[in-house]
Amino acid sequence: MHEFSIAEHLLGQVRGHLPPGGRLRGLSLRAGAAQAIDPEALALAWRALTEDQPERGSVLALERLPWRHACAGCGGAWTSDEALDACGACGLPSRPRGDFELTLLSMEVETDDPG
Amino acid sequence: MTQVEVIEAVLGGNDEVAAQLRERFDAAGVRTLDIIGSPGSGKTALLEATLPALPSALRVGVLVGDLATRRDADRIARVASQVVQINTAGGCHLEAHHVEKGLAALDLAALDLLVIENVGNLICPVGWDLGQHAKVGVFSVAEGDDKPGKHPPLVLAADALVLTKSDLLPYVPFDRAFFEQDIRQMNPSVPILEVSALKGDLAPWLTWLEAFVAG
Repeated sequence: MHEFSIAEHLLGQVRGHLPPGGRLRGLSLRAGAAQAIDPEALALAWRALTEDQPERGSVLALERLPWRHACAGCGGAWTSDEALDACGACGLPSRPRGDFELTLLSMEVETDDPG
Repeated sequence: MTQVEVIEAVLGGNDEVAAQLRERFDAAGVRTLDIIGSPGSGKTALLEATLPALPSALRVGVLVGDLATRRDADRIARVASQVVQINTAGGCHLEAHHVEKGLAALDLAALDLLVIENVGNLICPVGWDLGQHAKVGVFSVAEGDDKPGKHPPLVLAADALVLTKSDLLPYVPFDRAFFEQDIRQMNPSVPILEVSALKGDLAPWLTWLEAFVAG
């Protein structure tokens, strides 16, 4: 369950970007297929980690990128949740492409400043 | 409500420490391996058999990651002069800060090769940079021939894959061609090194390792 370690790194990262007096209400992440992140496990880890913290109740949204495939036979391209896949047109097994990207994209922050 | 754009790697802090570690390894002329495999795949047995079989002039240190106990370090200490046990107290993988802490107990200047035996796990350790120069994935015959297909990130990230416990091949249902086919679909060029630590059949692995150390 590397999701808990990721959540710990994330919490430190978020705090480094929070404006003074800001309260975190949400955060948005993107993960490459090769990170093998279970979104529910990450959300659970985030809730557990922030339960007694100022970030409690903040909602974590994860965009999980699929594996990318390109057929060496017919040149067709597609994405899939499966790393081991075959071309739907010509049936050739495809080499999956996916990366270990894990990016904090943005945060939703509530502040007391009415402006 | 304000939206704050960030666009920053979540594991950037780990990666920074890993980059510093890599600089230290390079400055000391130490080649470093991260060995990843499931519990019981034979990582420790592989090291126990490998280290005595390497040229005697090659100085090897080992960092061993486990949730608990220093049993693996005790085993490896019989064949390596420098061994450090890292207990993660529940953590399912090593991170760069673990390695940094472990290095405090090692004399890098007296090493040519540092082997990091990661916590037994085929998934969690794969995405973490430890400052290594290569990642080695370990699968065993006992685990079954379908494990590479079920663990694409390790197959994609590995610089070499070791198939351990080859002495069991005559006795268990293990389709060697199927095992290799899944690997080749994902990583066509990765070396697949079949070994038996029990029998001392290590030749392809030792050849790869000596070439790796030579850089």
